[in-house]
Amino acid sequence: MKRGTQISAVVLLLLAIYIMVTSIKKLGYKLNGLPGPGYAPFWIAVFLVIFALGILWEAKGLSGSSIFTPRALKMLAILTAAGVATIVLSLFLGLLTSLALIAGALIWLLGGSWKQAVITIIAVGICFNLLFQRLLMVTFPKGPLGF
Amino acid sequence: METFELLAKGFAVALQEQNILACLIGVIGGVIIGALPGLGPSTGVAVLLPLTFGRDPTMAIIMLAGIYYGAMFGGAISSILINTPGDSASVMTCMDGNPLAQQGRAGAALGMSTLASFTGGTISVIIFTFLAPKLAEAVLWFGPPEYFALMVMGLSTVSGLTGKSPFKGMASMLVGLALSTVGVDLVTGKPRFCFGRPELFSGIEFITVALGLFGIAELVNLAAGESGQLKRTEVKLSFRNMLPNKEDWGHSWPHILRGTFLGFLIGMLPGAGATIASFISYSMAKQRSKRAELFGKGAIEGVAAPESANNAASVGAFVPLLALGVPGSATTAVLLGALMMFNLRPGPLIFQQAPEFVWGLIASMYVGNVMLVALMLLFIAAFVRVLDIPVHLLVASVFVLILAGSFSLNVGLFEVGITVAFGAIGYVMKRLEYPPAPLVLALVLGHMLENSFRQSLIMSRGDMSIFFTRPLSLILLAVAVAAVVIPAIRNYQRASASRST
Repeated sequence: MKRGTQISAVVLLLLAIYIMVTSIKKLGYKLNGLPGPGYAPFWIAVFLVIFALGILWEAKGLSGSSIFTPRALKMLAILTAAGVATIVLSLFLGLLTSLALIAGALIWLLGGSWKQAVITIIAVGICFNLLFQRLLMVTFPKGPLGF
Repeated sequence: METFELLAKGFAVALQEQNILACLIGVIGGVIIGALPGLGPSTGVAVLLPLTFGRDPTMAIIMLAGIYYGAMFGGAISSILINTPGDSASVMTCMDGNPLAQQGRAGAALGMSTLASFTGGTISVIIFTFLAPKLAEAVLWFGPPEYFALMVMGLSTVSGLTGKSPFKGMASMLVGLALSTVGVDLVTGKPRFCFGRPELFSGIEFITVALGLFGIAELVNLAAGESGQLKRTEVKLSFRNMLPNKEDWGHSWPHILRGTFLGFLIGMLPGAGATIASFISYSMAKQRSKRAELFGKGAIEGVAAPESANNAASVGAFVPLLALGVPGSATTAVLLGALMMFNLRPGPLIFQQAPEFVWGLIASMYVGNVMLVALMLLFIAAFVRVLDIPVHLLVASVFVLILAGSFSLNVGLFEVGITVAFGAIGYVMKRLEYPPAPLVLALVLGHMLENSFRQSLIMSRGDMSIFFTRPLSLILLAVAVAAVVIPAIRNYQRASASRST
């Protein structure tokens, strides 16, 4: 917890410094005596520095316990990878097919049976087609099979 | 008298076929989402929001509001039957609800929670009906400095009071404000923090962020739990065994009424919300009860008090949202974003500019509460079956629904990428105890905050003292500072005390 909080505070500090530099150098702090496009981001970043330092100070009193269990890390990796895979796959297979396949893969990876995975693939394909494409008229990117 | 006429017109809107259906879908969805541990109302509203795109705004918001207060009803189901709250507002219901279920009185506990929720919800809607328009009238004279100060106060109180550390709450809020500056600056036309990506020129849509922070992050949390199947107390539920007996009513009614008024007042305050309302209501019930020794072991009033309070708070939260245009909680922040997506600008003028919408929404809350009590008493056995859904099935199906919803927003894969990224960030934030609500709230309010700030400075020709020389603006800013400083001092004192011992 302690190290995680410290790292997060440093990330916030770096983000704040980047915003401050960009606000002043690229966006423009003032325009004709009034706030320019960089004015608000600059002051947001100044306050972010103050509170990030506060978090660093507060972190001194925290315990050194770990914030992630191995299972939590695994689940985070699985779901993040599934999201990225959906985007990549949809470029080749279309979004509907990708979502259905990813749903099936997730069922299997999270401990479901292959039967449940297959049923989910079919159900997601049909339900999402009806809900999004027919009812809500959302056009999903299509794959080589035309859906 | 005028209020009654407007309310009657609202009922004419709420009772249209499509709006009744929207309300029914909303409350059923809300109960299911509320009953599922880990998926709270903010997640539910964010996940189901994309399904309302292209629909009539009144119908869409009636459905989303139904999800919000429906989830408050549903939260009690998992608290009582599996001793795991559906969301944080139902934590206190576990204390006596589950012991009652263990004693074979699950029906009475669920029935009392339903009737207490109904009473709390309905009385609050009646208060809301008369209070919100008056409040909106009172703030009609607000200028840009007052609006700026009001939004700063809203953001500070939510950030200062949500979570364990006010520093983390404020940092979360400031990141949200920074994200709201992404996109083309409306005054100068200059792109800010767009990295040359045309998708970012119109800014980051709050819903893509909310879907990640509230949706995916909660799914990771749910999947990371050790149990693949929720273990619930086996019960036989019927209409008859859900009706509390005379003795139960005798013990509970004063606590229901107190919880209702307390919950409504707390719900109106930014940052406090249903969770704090249910905690305080439970504590007060315990203090004032003649049988305090039974609390924690199965006192029926220990279920009634927090349930009436959390429902009343969910209605109370609509007062600042509609009358001031400033949401006070994560769910109302998502609702504000939804309203703005439908080109409805909440605030004092909405009562004059969109009376059909506002009064239709208010009337739908009466209708929704009646629907909820009927559904819960008649079909509780069906809702309980939701707890039998395997976790992997739930996670996989909600996950792809989130991705499809995110895509539907702008019909682009870039949005899906943002949602996935914020899902991972949201989970890390959750583990590190950074509250996500201030981030989403700031992202929604950021544009308005910056506009009010710039308009104020144009009014004063660049003189910052305009915020401190107008009395109301000064008071609001002082409250904003206090909302951060007081919790920080308390944290410091607590840390010093624990170090010295």
